Amino acid sequence: MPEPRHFLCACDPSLGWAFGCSRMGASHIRLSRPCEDAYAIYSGASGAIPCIAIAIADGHGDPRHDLSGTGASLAVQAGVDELTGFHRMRVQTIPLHILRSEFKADFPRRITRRWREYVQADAARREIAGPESDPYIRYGSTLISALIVADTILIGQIGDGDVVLVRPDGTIESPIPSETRLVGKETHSLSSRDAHLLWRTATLDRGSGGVLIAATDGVSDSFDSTAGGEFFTFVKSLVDRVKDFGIESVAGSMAGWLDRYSELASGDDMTIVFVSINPDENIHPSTMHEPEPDEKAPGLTECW
Amino acid sequence: MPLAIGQRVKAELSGTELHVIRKLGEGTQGEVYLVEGPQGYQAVKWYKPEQATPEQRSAVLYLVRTGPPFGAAGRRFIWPLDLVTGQESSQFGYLMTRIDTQKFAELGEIWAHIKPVPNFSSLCEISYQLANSYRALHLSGHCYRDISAGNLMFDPVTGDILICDNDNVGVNRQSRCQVWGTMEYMAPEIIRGEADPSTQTDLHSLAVLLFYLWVWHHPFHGEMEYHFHCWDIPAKKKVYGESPVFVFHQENPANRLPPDPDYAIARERWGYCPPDLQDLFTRAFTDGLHDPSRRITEGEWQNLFSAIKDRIIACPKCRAENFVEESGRPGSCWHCHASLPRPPFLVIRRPSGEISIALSNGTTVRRRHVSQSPANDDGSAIVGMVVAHPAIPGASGIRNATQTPWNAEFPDGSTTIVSPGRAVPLNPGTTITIDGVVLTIVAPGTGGIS
Amino acid sequence: MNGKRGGIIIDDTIPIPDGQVAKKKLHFFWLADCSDSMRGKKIATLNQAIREAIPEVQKAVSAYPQVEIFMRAIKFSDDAAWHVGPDPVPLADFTWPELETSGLTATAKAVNLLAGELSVEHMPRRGLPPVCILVSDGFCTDPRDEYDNAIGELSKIPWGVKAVRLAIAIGDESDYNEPELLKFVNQDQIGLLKAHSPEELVSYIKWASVSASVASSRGRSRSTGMEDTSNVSLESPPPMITSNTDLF
Repeated sequence: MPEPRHFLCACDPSLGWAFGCSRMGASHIRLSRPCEDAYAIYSGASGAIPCIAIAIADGHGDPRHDLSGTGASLAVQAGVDELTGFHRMRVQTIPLHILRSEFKADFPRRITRRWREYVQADAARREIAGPESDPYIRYGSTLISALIVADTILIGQIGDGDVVLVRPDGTIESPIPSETRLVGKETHSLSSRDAHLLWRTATLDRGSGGVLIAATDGVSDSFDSTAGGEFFTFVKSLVDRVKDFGIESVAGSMAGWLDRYSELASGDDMTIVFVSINPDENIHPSTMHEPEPDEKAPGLTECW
Repeated sequence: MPLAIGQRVKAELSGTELHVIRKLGEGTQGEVYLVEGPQGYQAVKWYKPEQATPEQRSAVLYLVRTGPPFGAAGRRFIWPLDLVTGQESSQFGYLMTRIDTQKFAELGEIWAHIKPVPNFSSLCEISYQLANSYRALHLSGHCYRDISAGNLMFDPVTGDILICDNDNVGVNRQSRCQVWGTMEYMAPEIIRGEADPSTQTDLHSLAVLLFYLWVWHHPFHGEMEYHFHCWDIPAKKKVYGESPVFVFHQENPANRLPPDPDYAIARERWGYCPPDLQDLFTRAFTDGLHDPSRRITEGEWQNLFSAIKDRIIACPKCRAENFVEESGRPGSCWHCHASLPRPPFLVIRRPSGEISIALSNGTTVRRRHVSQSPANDDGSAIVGMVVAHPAIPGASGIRNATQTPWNAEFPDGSTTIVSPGRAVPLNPGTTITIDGVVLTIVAPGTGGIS
Repeated sequence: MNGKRGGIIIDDTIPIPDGQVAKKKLHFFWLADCSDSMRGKKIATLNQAIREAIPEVQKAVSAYPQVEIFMRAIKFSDDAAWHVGPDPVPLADFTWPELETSGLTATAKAVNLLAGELSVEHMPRRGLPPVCILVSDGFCTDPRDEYDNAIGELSKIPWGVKAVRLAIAIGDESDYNEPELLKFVNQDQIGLLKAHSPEELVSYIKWASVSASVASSRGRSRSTGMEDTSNVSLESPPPMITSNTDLF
């Protein structure tokens, strides 16, 4: 068995397991720029209730965001800390359906505030500026963060990057509505003034489980989007590789694959977190009916 | 157990069969599916097993049989049309109309820039329709119990609203509910366990929702919430129930907005609210907190939003919408800071009082300005429109947008008939008679509003 | 976990996942005036200059191997039409056909044609800022409203705003309308590039095409809400001293 290299892994027997991999972009290496991506994965329990928490972040490359590598590291830390705190405080005291509405109502505000606190502390340590000025811009970063607990998957995203859920039957869900109004390299950021409003959240049933994949935009930017979603092809294929060859082999190969995509295509930093989620044992698997194609049905661009 | 694609379910009262096309989304109580039946495409909310209780089933059947409140105000509720069941006898759901989610938006989508931000006229329209619909619901003897931004959808362009998740509607003062719901909207007396849901507790929730729509912030999220490191149930009970304090309280600074950048948007948007709107919010969240009889009634909200919508003019430089001050005093554009001219007004004498409409190019006079609309009609039909004069630069007139002629009398005493499609110039002192109602053109700066 | 590399060794026992990779696309547009007044020396110089610029752009962008440039050209005289296009051509395959002159100066129509190609439907959502270089020697003969509307449209669409838009004016300053051409430019610190001689034209065409391509290729992510609208920064153009006395 090849020695696993360059990845982190976390696992909980009932919920599933997660692994992550982050690689410096080919253009960053050439230009001697640091890696500005970060990720974090965590598994733990509060009382007898386990959870898995993940976060990925992409620091902005523009010279105005010169501390964004640190900003990204602080972002993933804040994401996991806020989610595990949320889990600890609520999972045993409130009904699960309320957990979801509380997440939507409170998470964006609280996690943004927590990141700002961490940034303030870091800026103070570096003796950058007094408390009244605004150090956040220099640390600007995106963040995708998710929590898997009991029968629920909670996901939050600010800025670019992708998070998809591949169900056991092969369907790919994109639970976060896409940000359609920005083009080019502009992105929403934790450092944006109204960051607490710019979050997009989703709450899903764990149901039959599946694979949750979160990736920074260096990954999806490497794939041909004109051919109609080669990134989705990559995602499905990645899930198949794990099925065919096992997690250790795939985790061990991931670094090389990401390096190659960066070299050939996007040049950006590449970060991916892969979470395999077990089916929720408390529900009976539903009998699958053959889907009937219906051309008259309203377009699939509608969402509730 | 969730529904599967292709599964057949039955609408009980009509006896029709529906088949499931695909899942549209998930809520906290269940999933929503697109279905097809003899009436075309509709939606079904399917409860999770733990929510599919006998009480909920009775509640749904009651709502199906009672139907939504009457008229245009009632049609904004996405109401349960029928009980829906599957092969398994224990699970059920309800049938409702489908919502066009390309057109209608939730507040969260506006914040995240996924849908366009409504301008002031649309915001006034959304607010007016909200108050109007909840008034109709309360008049029919019901209370909503679960008013929140999650149940509201609106068209950001026109301001039309839809109210969803009506399965929690209960009879005033007779129904129990779990205290767990969205606590940020709950009246303090419910959180403290001192009262049951009622139309009065709905009034508090309505005020909170309106505040969210205008200020994009919760009325009690200030220093108190900021200093809670652990935002758990006891913390929420304190901030929302035991010691709620308005962030813009005139005298009590205990819960002011912290200096953090996150609060900049709230300060800004509070500044955009005209003074009379700020006054109502202040009353709602000071006196109204502990004395339900001092809460703002739907009628008061309706009158306010109707009046301020009539005080909107477009900035001549950047076209941004601005509220004219009640006194008609000049101000400056919130967007480009250009000074705003004092507008002329149209004053309409009605039995219920006087209406004043600030005039700028594009201003519309609606059916509701000139007549009492029947319940079935929301009075939004355009009766007249202010347009630029084709020959005199800088001048404007009001065009007759109806099918019947108007009578106009000029200050010099001469009269004329204004046929459909023709426009009366904005000559101060001119009166126009439409369906027996007299409208007077008033010059700028002569105190349009009494 | 990040960045340590000792050469790429891909574990050959597992095939790399499927999925067609693609480099970042940089869309480059020439808008070339081929009106009657360009006849003779001016058009000959233009044809020559663009041909010489192509390999220089190629060389400059080779420092960014993940970037792939696709080039197209719009010509305008009585009307605007594709000189090379509408399909984008990879730079390695791009050749400049001889541009001939005739007719008036339909700059507005050229801008409209460009705006159509920069629409959200035609461009990928994420990618590098497009480069647009307008070269003209005279007044736009389309009605003033038409030109202003075309510029307005261009400045409203997201890719129109984000694009690196430069303009090169040829010949005597009284022959062209500087404010008019400046409306096309969105790099305030550069302004309108004025070529008084064939040598200057060649130099500016090379400089503009290379700098704009490099600036766009560098494309770094940034958060929304930054004050300036342009997101690429160009260095200043070279000073235009010459001892040459050729006139246009």
